[in-house]
Amino acid sequence: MNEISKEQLLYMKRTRQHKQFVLFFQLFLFIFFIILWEITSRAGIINAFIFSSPSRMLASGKELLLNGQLLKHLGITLAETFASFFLVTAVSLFTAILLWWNNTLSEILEPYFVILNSLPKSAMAPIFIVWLGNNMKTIIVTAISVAIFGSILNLFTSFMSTDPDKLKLIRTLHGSQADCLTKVILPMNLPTILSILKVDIGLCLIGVVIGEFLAAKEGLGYLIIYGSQVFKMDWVMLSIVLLCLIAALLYGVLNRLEKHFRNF
Amino acid sequence: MPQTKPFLSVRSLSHTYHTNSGETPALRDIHFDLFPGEFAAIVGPSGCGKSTLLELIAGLIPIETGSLLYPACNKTPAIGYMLQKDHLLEHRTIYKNIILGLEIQHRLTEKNLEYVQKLMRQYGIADFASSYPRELSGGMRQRAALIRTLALKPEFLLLDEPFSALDYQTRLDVSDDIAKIIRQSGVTTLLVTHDLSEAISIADRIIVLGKRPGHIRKIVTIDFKTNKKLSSKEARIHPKFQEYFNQIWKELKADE
Repeated sequence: MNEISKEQLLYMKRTRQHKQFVLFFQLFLFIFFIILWEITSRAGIINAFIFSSPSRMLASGKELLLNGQLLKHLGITLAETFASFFLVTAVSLFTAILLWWNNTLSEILEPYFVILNSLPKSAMAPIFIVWLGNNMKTIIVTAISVAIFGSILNLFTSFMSTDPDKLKLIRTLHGSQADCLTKVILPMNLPTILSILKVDIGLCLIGVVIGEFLAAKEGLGYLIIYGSQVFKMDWVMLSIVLLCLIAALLYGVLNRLEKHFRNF
Repeated sequence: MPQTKPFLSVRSLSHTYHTNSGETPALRDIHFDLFPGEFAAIVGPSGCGKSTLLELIAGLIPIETGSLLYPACNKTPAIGYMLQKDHLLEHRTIYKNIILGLEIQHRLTEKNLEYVQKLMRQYGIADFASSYPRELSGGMRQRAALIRTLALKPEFLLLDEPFSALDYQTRLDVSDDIAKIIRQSGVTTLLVTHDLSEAISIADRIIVLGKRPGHIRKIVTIDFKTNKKLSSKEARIHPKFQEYFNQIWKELKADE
């Protein structure tokens, strides 16, 4: 059956056309929006001072890039996001394993995690400022607090819903609980772990920006607050666009990782 | 056979499950012997405690009352256990799945690995060594699961409805196939099944359990009086097959 039938060719052509159609309109929407924004602000339909415009954003972006400010703020925000993300990953994995390992402990602690998870985490940021000072520590802790409880609960739930017969198998082979963990729980839940991490990195970014709003002298969150205070809306818009790009990029990287492991 | 020392003696074994809403007696006064190299089957209606009995023997749940003795070897033998589904781990290759038990027990010696290779060649699964479980048919997967169990050189095999997850056709082939492999290895085996035909076609003796709390109704020795052991397909068309079937069926029905 090496020959491809006419029907198959037609089908393939249709799916390809459909994909192109979707891609075209995705790009079209973006370009249309940018052009509309530029034209309306130039024509004075919207106030460019308040709403900024793509060309003004580019100009201020170039200016900030040349004086090194842009990379500094971007770098700080990224560094804080990564730091909090790695801490969230390590601590939540460790805690979820601990809760899975010890049933009594998880029974005792679960209501606390549920309550902490449903708390609006930004409410805690002011406390962190008082406790930790007006610095990067506060920002990272704020970001961690946004992501960590959900992460622990989701990981724990995923661990607990692993097929109990697979664990029974390990026991029939005379394996220990550590064997259950390393041979079944962790490898079988790897796709879920990665999709939880995908959510976490987005939450960390949100947490970092919240933290930077309240306690920072650097970073994109700071640039947004500062820009809005001195009416440099170009900076604010530029920062928001950059945050969009960072979020998409980080999500994309983890998505690729997840896909890679799902094929497994 | 009764003149030799039994391999396993189950003595007055009872078991009860405890929950907050009360106690559920699962097994009552189970009493039987198993002889070296014997292939015995336990049949009974669902919920009669068949699997509980197997789990007790395997040591997966602690014994409350009664005892298990191994008169022939005077110590607890190495037990191999096969579950209803193959439970191959999807993230491991077939080979990695097969050596899972050896890996867990830190017995990945050259000798044991050679034995695994031999088993895989012998049972026609060597070509699939680097495949993943999802690439194999149900029958092949069950074979891989059996080799995973045999790799540990068990002296006593416990099979908990190992064919029940397969479709009927595959099931006939696989049960035949696996019974043959086990007979060749000469390991004493206890099979739990709710399929009466399956039990009659592959076992030497059938222990019939009654409804909850599971108790022994009858023990039937299966003997087709032929020189060589019949394959399960041959057994199914043997005239005595229907006789045994009716006899045990009546026993199970009388319990209702």
